[in-house]
Order: sequence, then C-alpha cells, then structure tokens
Amino acid sequence: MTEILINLLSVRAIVEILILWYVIYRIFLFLKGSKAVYLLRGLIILIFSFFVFQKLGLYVLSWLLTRFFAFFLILIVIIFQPELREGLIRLGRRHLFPVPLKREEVERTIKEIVTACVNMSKKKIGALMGIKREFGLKNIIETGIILNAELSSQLLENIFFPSAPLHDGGVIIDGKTIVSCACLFPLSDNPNLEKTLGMRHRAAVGLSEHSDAIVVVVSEETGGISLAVNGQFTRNLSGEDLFTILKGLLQKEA
Amino acid sequence: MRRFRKPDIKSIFLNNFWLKLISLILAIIVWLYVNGILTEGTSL
Repeated sequence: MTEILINLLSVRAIVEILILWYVIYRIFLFLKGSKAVYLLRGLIILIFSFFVFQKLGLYVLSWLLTRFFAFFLILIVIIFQPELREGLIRLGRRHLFPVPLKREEVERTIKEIVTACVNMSKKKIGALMGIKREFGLKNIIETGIILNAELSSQLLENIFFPSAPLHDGGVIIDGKTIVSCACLFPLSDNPNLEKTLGMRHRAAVGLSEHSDAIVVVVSEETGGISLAVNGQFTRNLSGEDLFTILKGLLQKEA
Repeated sequence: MRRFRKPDIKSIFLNNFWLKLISLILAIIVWLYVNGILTEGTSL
C-alpha cells in the first residue's frame, strides 16, 4: 500500500495521471448527451466490477469478465463508430489560421441576423441559420445552393419567404457572407431533446453537435426564436437576448 | 485589443464536477493497473 502511495506521489506519476485524466475527461465531454453515454456507463460498471472481483479473489468471475472485455473491445469499435469518426474529423477540421472579422463587422452581421429573425418571428416564418465559427462546414455547404452573397436582413427574409424556391433547409453564414442556402443540416439523435421539437429544431441542435457553429432557428408554428450552441438548446429568445448572446459568442473571436 | 476575463477558479472547479471526478478516479485506476503490469509484481 505504501509502495503504491509512493508511486502515486512521484512527479512522473502525477504528470501521467493528469494527461490521462484530461484525455478521459475530453472523451466524456464529447460523449455527453449522446446515446453512447449509456454504453459507457455500462462499461465503467464492468471495469469497477472487474477490480472488485480481483480484490475479493473471485477468480472465476474476473476470468469471465477478462474474456468478455476482449469481445467487448471489438463491439466498442462497431458501436462507437459514428462517435469515433466524428471525433477524428473534429481533430482535423480546425483551421490553422482563421481570419477574424473586425469588431464593427461582427456587430453589423449580428444586427442583420437579429433584425431578420425578429421580422420573421412576427410573421411566423420558419428560418434556420448556421453561423460558422472555427470548424469548416464544407460538407454542409455543398448540400445546398452556393450564394456567396453579402449578408443583409432583407436577403435572409427573402430566402426564407414560404413560397420562395430556396426556403427549405438552412443557410450557412460565414462572417459577413451568406455562403449557401437550402442546406441539409444533420439531425440530432439526442434522446434528451423534447419530443415536441420539430425537424428544423432537431437540425439546429444536430449542426451544433457536429460542429462549433452557432445555429439560430425561428419557429414556423410559434414564431419563437431559439439558439443552439454545442448541442445546448435555448428557446424563446427576444431580439435583445439573441443580440447579447450572439455578441458574446462572436465578439470573443474578433 | 483582446480583452481578458478574470478566470473564476470556483466555476472552473465546479463546472462538470462529477464528470471531472469520475475521470480522475478512472485515470488513477488505469494508471495503477498499467504501472502495476509494467513494473511487474506490483498490483492493486
């Protein structure tokens, strides 16, 4: 026991444990809110059981668990395949040298988005807008119609006007440009989301889970303005709330 | 000019506290197990 404690208190051990802790913590954060978290919980219970069985000298049970782990490792790769793929994509997607917008440009962009949202909210026009941050959204942009037009509230309202040909799907905004519209956003499969949420809202949460984009939604049914960031969904925002939150999120980077 | 916010130590510590604690416990268990195998003879 004292040997274990001495081992634990060495600088090498502390550095190794801290690195291990950080990696495990980031994996947990990444899996939080997804279906994989339930599987992970089961795995942790099995690992704890294994150590308890070993400590109590229940060799038959620990032997069975060891055999089961070997089989379980293959299962993990199959079951966690979407998460593993997404994790690796996330690692490689970050831009090395992002060009930040000027503070005034960010504020102008936010004003245009908020004005469009408030106007569409009053008229109960549904809208879905993804605001790109660090992560590239090329795969999403390519699913829609490329616009590369200067952002304005009028253009946003025009895109989402119900009888307009491009009103289905979402727009991707990069800086002061509407890059593309009628894009297909990935749907969230988070089991904790409210069952009443429609496809548009699920798509908003989905994009925010798959990237670091900020997604703004206007509900067609209620006219409510909502925001999704990092898989977290905030509903029924006023124009001022939206302006403050967007300013806080986007001006940090400018 | 970039403005720096004063880091709030309490919120850094308490944010996702249980997740951080479980990760730390798991990291220690994994380290002890692997270290035990590597040094041969030292076990939990």
